[in-house]
Amino acid sequence: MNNTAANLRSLLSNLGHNWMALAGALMLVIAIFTAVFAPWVAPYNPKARIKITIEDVYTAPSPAHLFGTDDAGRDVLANFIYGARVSLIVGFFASFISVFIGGTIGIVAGFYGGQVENLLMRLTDIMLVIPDLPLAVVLVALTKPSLLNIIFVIGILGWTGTARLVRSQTLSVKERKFVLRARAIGSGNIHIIRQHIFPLVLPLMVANTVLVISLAILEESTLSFLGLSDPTNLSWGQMLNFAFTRGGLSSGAWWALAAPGLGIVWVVLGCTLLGHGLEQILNPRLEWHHLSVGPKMVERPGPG
Amino acid sequence: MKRLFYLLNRLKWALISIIFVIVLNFFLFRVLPGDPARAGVRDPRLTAEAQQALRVRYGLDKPVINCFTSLNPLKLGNCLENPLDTQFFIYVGNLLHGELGTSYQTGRPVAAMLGQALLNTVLLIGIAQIISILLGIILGLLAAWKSHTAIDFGVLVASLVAWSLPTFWLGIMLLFGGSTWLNLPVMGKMTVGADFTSGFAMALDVAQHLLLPTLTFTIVVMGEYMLVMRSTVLEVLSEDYILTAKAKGLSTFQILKDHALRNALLPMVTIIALNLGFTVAGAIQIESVFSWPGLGLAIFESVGRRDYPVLQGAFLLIAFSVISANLIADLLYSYLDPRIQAESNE
Amino acid sequence: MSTYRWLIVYFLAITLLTSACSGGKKIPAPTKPPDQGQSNPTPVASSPTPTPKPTTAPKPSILRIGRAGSPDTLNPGTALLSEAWVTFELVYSALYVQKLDGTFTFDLATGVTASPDNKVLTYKIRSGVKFHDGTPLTAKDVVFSYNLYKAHDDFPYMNGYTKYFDKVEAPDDTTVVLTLTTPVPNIESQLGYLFILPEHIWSKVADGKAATDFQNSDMIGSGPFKLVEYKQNEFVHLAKNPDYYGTVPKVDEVIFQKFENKDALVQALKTGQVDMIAEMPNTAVATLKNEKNVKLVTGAPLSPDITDIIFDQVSPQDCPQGSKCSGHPALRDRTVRQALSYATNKQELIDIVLLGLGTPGLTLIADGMGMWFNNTIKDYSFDITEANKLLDDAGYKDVNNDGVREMPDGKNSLIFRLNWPSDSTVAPRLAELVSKTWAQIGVKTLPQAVDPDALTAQCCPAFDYDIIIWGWGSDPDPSFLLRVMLTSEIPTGSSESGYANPVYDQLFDEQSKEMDPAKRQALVWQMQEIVQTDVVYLVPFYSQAVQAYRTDRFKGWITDQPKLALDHVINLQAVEPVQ
Repeated sequence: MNNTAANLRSLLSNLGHNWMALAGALMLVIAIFTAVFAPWVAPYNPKARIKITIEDVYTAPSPAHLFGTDDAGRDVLANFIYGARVSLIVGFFASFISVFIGGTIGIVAGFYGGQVENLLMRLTDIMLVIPDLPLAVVLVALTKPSLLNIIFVIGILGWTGTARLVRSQTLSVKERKFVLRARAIGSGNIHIIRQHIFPLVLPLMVANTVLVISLAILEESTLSFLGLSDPTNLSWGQMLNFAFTRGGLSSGAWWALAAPGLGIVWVVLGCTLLGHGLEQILNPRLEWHHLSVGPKMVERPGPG
Repeated sequence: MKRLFYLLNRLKWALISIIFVIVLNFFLFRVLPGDPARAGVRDPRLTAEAQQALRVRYGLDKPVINCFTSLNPLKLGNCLENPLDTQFFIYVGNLLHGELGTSYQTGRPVAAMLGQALLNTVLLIGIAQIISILLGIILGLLAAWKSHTAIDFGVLVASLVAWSLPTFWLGIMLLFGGSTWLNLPVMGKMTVGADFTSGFAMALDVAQHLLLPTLTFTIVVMGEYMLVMRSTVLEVLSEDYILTAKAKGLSTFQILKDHALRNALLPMVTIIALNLGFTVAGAIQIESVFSWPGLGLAIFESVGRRDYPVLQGAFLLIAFSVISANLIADLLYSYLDPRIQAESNE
Repeated sequence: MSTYRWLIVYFLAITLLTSACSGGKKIPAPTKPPDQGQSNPTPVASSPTPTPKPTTAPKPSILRIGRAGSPDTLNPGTALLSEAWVTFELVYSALYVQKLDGTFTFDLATGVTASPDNKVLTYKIRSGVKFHDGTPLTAKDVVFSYNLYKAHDDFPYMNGYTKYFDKVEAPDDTTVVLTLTTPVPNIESQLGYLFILPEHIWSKVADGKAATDFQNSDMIGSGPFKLVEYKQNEFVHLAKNPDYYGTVPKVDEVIFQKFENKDALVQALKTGQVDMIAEMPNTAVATLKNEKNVKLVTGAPLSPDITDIIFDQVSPQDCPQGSKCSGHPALRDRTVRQALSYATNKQELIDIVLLGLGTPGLTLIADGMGMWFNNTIKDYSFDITEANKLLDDAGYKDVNNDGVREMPDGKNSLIFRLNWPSDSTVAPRLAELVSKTWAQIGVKTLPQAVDPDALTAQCCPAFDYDIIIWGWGSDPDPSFLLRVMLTSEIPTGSSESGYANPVYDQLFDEQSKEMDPAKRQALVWQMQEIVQTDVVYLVPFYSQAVQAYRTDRFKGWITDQPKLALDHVINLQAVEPVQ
């Protein structure tokens, strides 16, 4: 376990040097902060029972309602802030499921090799081939539209990328000297996986997790937009669904459409930046090459 | 010889995938609760007798498959009792004849309905993919070459933002702006009922309708291609042979064109083929926002109506094309990269 | 490099090929390209001077109508969607046609005599009528059509309308003799939907599966419009029938275009891509009101759609064999249902959900049903105090002080599952709003959207729910909707509520045989009184039809009738282009 902690620590310390990772982390922190402290940040409580009249529907942004109101007369900013909770929760939990499944399959396939690997990789291939969104649409229609089901469906459909990544990383780690040495002295497979393989695979998995989160959030917003999510839990995608199906466009209520969309973009972009930044730290691609403009190189720098 | 074995291996797995998809396809939709005979229509005039007659017409009165009389897989029914007069085997039988069944809602053959829809989707996706691939390649190359400059930064950020945009949201925004300020068509593939004086006039009309959906799709997809291209070119450009080429006196442009581009395009092939599966997701969203009569829209509408045959047919079509695309990509890759032959498991 | 060049060439070839082949059928008549740009407000001068003689052939006028749905099929026997029926009314004739005040008048028929027992009806029909392909229409076509509908019990609606037909004969070319098994009141409303099919075409596909498989892609009828082209899920293109026996339409062509969402519809009207929209989201009313060249109209819809709240009130002894019947016992108590009615603020629901475009609802028979609507019934006003009092007096107290009442025996809190189909756009908001007011009387809800088919499986005859927000389409005759509250419909699945009242059943029986309209109306009104008192359904509102048209394209829209239906055949026969 020492190895794992050490690797993670070095990963985090390198974070500061990479602008993408920094920017992404900052964006995510802001989003998470807003979601966690929603009751203090939001100007109104969206679930509060207030009197709403016809004039309150789709009003333009004003000092009372900074982002205007939606089709039920509720403050868009308040919905937006509370919606961050739902979108982030779905994104995080669904991606944890995906990464857990993908990571397990990847490590098992990479480590044990042979028929096991073959079977698992074929399974991954088949999952890749089945179109995600139609399948998700059908699966959600199959079960009742609740948040739990959405999380579950997105989770079990999104593990293939992680599986492939983890497997190839496991393959490369497997041949390292210390693993062979561990085998030589008779360490059990589980022990080797836990002590040696896993710590080296983990950093890459972390980077991948962040990217999977962004995919999960996008997928949730799409499913909500298509009307398959839980309308009682207002996520950003659900806000867009209401705005679109309840005549937001034609009444010119651009604020009802812009706000949740921008929220999604913010979080997904944050995750993407962070994820790519982490990947760069772990696999430092040579940012200098033989045709670079700037200082010329003669020899290649050492491996990163 | 080795290549032949490799090809046969890939073909074998492609076939297994297809079989898996067929079985999954069938059972998935049968497990959906509810009843297409009552789907969608809440009308008091739809009597119980009429609903039963509808069920007979759809063939839903036959058992799904005789081995499993309930969804409990451990409770086996009588497998041997007339196995072929079950929905599953009828379905498979029809499939072997190339018949995809008839839609519940319209009574038209699914193959005909989906055929036209497929062409429409291919038109939209095909053009958008080509544009985004080209843009992705050019911009990726540019960004890698000029790495660590403002151009690189700009392209990188633009691609990341583009990739983060939800497809349907971008579509709605563009639809709103485009129709209000540019008078672009709000829906459909062509202006209905207009007589076009020439094929060119018609193509122009279709192009007008294609503009916004294609733009949406290109923006969202291009980002990924750019990112992949950029990282691949970066790796290639730090290889030794680039240094050699430079030493030989080749111009930067020549090096980029003949060495960097060629070698970097290899991974792009795989990515493009892999992406075909994901483009369907984009197609569903775009087609429903812009009312483009393609495969994605057919899927979206059939889900609500429980039109099983259409859903099955569409699913199968998509899976089939993705499997084929992957196969072709593998074959192409094997021709282009001799290193691949060595691994028999891949 | 060459492999990739080939790839690109291949792709380009495919796209060029597909763009060339995937065009629609070309129309032979010369047409002017439709107005794509911003419409210039042409001064609507009602000048008496005739338009100058055109040197070239006059360009046909095309009326474009946008709507959010499209016909599911062109086969009148198998069609289920209302968009298909709108099309059939334009392309086919029937013995009667519905007017915009809800009553029926002769269309193909010119007169009728009934036998004393009202079982034998003799119709005289017009002579000289031709189908769109020139073949004469005679009484034999009527006989053939009715027999076809009767023979196919998988024709969902048509078969229902012929339920009481015994036989139909044509003694000569202009006489149809219809014999019924029992007298049917208001038979015009049913004959109005039995479209006359050409025997010479349909006789080839009359038997068994052929009739339901028949695509009817030529759709030869005898109505004021004929089919030009039909693209599934995209558009229906019609042209006027110059040989029509009635009022020949003044507009040359009509195109119904399907839009995936209602916002796009409104955008299309604003930018002039369509000339009229038959539906729109209520939120667009405010913007369209200010749009020049667009006129907005509201009114009672021709075939009202009802939104309703269903209470599971099936009693254990009526529970069908094998049904779950898991409804909350409190809902079987009429007092509870009445309290919930008092706690429902219908005006607020109309304001928020419909943006004011509706009237408070009473029973399933909507105000758009004309004479059948009982307008004397007193509704439950929004009165929280009264609701609380009712529950207090009946013994539903909040025993454990958690804000939710319990049953009189102290157990079973009044927590109700509140479900609705996930494809409904109004239900989520409705659920939220009623839950809010019901909470003020100590009732808690568990809202949950359910897939429509799963909801059907849950509802009836399984009765595995507490409260459902749903809706019905309707028919001009009230029988069909009144039927869903019959005791006999509980096991068939048509009864959603499980309501069982022998008095109601008896009244239904009587009204289904009563030939005197006034007497029948009295019976129907009495039935509405009963179900309103018993709160079988809680109908929040009756929504109004909201439609809009461009004032610079076509004029002559009929908007002063009791019902509003700009896409009805009568309107499309009347409108003409603005010069």
